[in-house]
Amino acid sequence: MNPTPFQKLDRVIHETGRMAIMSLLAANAELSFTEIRNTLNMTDGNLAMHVRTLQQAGYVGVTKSFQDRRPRTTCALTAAGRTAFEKYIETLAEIVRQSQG
Amino acid sequence: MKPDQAEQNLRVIRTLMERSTLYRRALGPMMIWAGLVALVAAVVGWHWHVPGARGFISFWAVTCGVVVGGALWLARRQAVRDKEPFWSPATRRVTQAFLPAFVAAAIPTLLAWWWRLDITEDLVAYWAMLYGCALHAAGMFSPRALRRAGWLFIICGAIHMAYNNLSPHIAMGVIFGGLHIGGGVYLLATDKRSNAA
Repeated sequence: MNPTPFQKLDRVIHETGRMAIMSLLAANAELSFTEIRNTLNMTDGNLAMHVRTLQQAGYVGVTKSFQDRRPRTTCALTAAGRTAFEKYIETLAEIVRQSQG
Repeated sequence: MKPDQAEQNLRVIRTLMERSTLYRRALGPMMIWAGLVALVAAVVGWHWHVPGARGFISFWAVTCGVVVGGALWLARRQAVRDKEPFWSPATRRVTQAFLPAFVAAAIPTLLAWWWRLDITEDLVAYWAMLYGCALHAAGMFSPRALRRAGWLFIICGAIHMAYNNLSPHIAMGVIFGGLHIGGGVYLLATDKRSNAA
């Protein structure tokens, strides 16, 4: 089997938690920290750590604002994040195609 | 990474993306449309004294048909404009959430129509409360405001059931007209995000 597609997998996205976060953000223009946490059943600390990693990679933008006088943190994919995620999915599909011959 | 793991990852991504997509398609315009039609129907029904249980039920069933037809047209128009499938997974989930309460409302309505039962005041309250339940269920897959609107319908239905001092047509106008218009304006004013379904 050709090992190239495996090497192309983005290590930042290729982690269960971060892949799930990227999937949610790819399907929604933006999501609040609470919405992501509740959907993925993650702890605050775990989610914050993954979001920080994605933010440092330039894949996710974080905005802090106030809604009804309460602080609200929202996350959204950046253009680079969307491209990287599309590439990641394409690589996974390539691996599957290769295995099917 | 093994190929079956790649396949599983793709499945997980697809499931998460489908499940997390909130239904937002034309919700504000749909609610305003429903409210305006209900208000006009209430004035017409009250002014023309649409008589009897059968008359009342038939009149509001036609109104409901007009509202649903218009809402489907609005949703389809936005789907075409955004180059999205009309029958998207989010649309399917919202429809499934709506259905049980609609069927529950249809059963006493059909019985009242069939046996000409004079329970129009009670029907208005049942319709409002069950519609509130439908909205609340649909709100699990759409903006949170829909769940709040659901509770308002339930509360208004309960108040109408307790006091019952409005003409049934006017009560329909106030509850279904007023709340839909209020909800629609709120959604249009607050939801700046993509309307993708």
